[in-house]
Amino acid sequence: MLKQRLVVVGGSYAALNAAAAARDAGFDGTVTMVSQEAVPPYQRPPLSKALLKDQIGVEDLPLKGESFYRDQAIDLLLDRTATALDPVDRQLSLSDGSRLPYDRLVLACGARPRRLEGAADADILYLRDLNDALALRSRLAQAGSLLVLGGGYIGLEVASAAAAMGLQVMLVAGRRRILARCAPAVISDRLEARHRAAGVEIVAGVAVSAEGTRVTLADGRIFGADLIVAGLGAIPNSELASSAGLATGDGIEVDEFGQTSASDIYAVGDCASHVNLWAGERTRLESVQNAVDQARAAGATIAGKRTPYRAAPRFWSDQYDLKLQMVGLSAGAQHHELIATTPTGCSFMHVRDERIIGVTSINDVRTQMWARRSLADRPLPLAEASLPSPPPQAGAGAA
Amino acid sequence: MATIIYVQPDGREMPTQVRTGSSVMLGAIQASVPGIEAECGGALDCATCHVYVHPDWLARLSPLSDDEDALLDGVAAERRPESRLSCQLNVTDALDGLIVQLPDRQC
Repeated sequence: MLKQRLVVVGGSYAALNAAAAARDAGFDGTVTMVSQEAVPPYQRPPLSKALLKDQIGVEDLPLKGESFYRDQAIDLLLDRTATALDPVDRQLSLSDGSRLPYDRLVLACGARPRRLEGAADADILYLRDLNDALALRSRLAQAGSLLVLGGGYIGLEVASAAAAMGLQVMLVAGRRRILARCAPAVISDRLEARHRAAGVEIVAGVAVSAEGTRVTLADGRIFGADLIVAGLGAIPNSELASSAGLATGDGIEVDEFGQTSASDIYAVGDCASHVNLWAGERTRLESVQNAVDQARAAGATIAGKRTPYRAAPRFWSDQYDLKLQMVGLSAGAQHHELIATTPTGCSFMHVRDERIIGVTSINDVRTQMWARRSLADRPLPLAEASLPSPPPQAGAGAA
Repeated sequence: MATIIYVQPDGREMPTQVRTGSSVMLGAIQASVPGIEAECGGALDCATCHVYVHPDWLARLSPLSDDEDALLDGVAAERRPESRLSCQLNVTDALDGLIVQLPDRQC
């Protein structure tokens, strides 16, 4: 019998883990990864944190040692992209002109930064991959002031790193508060206060347009800085799938096994949307955890060990001396309740329909670990929750 | 460089050269020693780089922080007195010969 051919498009957490999980579960055909990156998969979270501050080097970033790919017989094709997908002939066209046939295909194409409309790319830095981070690091080292566009995690982490490096930093968030999409107001408020204490000026709730290194706010104010970085969210790379006729919406639509509308094609990570138990609806998550866990499920399924992806979302962010950790989600919650306080932090639970759908902690690892155990496989009914410590006094430590 | 001896759950010893200034976690990743996931890459978020430190070496390590202690409550395998997160073990010349046993699972 001919060997099965697994092809994975992508070069980061999701691609690597899909390939590795297929091998782990006994897939004995050929495994080929097609990555547009020039280097093997590497850690992404430090790109907006420790790497910018020069606390770690590029040599600390690889997700696996080089021998891993050899040992696992994973063929890594770097520096090329998949330009077309033919789902009938089961073939990928690559940017180097070659064609790559497959029996099973995993799309782990990731997402790309949303660009500021009307602004020239040369004037604004974005942060997604290693090259972006290295460029940003060298520009930060020479800049005295920084303007950050966007109040999401990327923007806040870059602002935090730049402030720690002594730059004068201003952050403009288009929404009415920072982290409007991914954290409740009580958490946004705490983080905002910490940024202000570090000297970061924050303007929220205004649209911007940019020309050169100056931006104009919708209210007419004009600001300039040596350097502008934009963190305006990401757009899923689903074009390869949609042009091949696969079902796509906000990302490539998959079921709980990572399977797309074509039964031999899977999609995982930032580019895929799945029906998420914590969100209560179809959603697309951009996180290391989602990329790893969803890819593992798909990889095992491809190897014949059907494995649904039902893990709770997890996320973290480090800014200054604040360690933010989340399990589950907070969007869609009807209320948020303080469940613990620590000398420098706190934890809030997020409740929807009498179930805890998420817990966000700042400098409170203990409560977060309780939450991750308690919410490991489903939103937790309030009636079944035994909170880790007595509820604090009303108002104590609240943001 | 220091030699760190990673012991697999089946008893197989994997002596590995690790750069000083690196961590016991990174040393395993870079040499493709199986058994350490390190999903968060050393950010103290995940507890998937759990190791059991050989008792002879325990006292020579940097002490457990509150955060590491809390994370160790969430490890997938059994937590024991000699449990540590390998991302928190900085490799120095003094740790040349360190023996760490890998648990049977990390997640």
